[in-house]
Amino acid sequence: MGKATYQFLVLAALFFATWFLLGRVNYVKRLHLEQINEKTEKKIGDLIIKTVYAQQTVIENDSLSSLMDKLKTNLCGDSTEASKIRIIVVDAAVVNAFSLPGNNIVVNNALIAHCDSSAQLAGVLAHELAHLRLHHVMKKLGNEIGISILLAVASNGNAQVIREIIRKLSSTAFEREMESDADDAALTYLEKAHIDPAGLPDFLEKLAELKADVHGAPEWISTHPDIQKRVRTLRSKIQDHKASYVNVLTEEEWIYLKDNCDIGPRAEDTN
Amino acid sequence: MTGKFVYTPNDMETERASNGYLMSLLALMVGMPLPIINLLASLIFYFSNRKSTYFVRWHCTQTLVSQLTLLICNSVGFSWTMAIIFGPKHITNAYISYVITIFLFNLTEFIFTINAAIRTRKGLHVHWWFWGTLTDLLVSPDPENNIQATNTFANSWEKQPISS
Repeated sequence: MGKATYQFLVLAALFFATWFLLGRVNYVKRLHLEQINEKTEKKIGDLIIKTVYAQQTVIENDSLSSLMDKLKTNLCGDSTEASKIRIIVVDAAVVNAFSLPGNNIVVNNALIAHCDSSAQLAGVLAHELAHLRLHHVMKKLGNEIGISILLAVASNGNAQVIREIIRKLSSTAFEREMESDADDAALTYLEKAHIDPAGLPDFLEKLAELKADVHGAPEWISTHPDIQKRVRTLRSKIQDHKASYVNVLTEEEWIYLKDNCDIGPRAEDTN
Repeated sequence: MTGKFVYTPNDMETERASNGYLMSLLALMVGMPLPIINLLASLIFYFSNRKSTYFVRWHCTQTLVSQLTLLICNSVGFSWTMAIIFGPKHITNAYISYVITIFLFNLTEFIFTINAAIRTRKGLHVHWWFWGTLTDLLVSPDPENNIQATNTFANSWEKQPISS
């Protein structure tokens, strides 16, 4: 038995040593796997954004954009990365925000209108940013639409498929594990940016209550299932409120943002 | 390592033992993406020969335990790949190096199996590192055939003349 154990340990050591040594090579970089994905993603992203601009009313307000950029830069913690990410605010009565290929995040003004604080909005943005950073968007599209179709879209820009991509990303949920990973990553981004992470579960709870009040669920709720469970998990991971938490936006800036995203009587129409 | 068995197997035994290796080899070709198929083939062959002679049972067991070890490694790679294709995981250096590692181990096992199938057919006894030792512990000589092999077969085997 001793001989067999010894030989097994040698064999196992050989296996792990081979794996470890082969792992020293940066295959992802050498095989240009990231670049292929990024290039394709950027092409698809550009086509999608064109469609968003053509089909929706994009709020083009420089002051509003700079406030959203301020939140984004704080969450990214790196101005170079932040400059690659684009946040587009669209005039839509549906409470929703979603990530799109090519580092794009679309936020409906109705969602901003429903936030009680900049920390809640930062929580939503951190969650969407996590989907982008963790490559969830392309993964979801690869699984549901197919990589070959995505590559074809990148080269010929099929309008019908682009509309389908927007529909899938704006109104269907990510897998549970992806949502959970995005929540965890969002908490990390918020902590790093010294933004109160409680904003994320607070907003989820607020929308869950809103769901009970009105007919039909706000879109961001229907695309983010298991709200109560997620709120409990998020709260359990959040430590006590720290004095170091800051409001990225001043009170005046927040009021300005809210005023410019006021959707008035349409607020009731969440579908 | 190759040597002589505790007794000289007859032609039918060497053919059966050799087929045990070939069975796992054929299954390996057919079931490359599904690691379980290799084990199933070896398992079926093992059970169909479990009442056979010591020589045949010994070699069927060696095939089976080697397949079982590979199955564990391959299953990890298979589930990792599935998680990348259908789940939230993405391709990393660790994943690619793992795939290369299991490929190298499968290739080595493939070559060793071909070698074992040929040598076993010639009546030689192929004793693999670890799997051979494990087989010595798992398979005892068949008392019905009145073969005087002992439980310390590994030691006696080492005294046999070795041809490579």
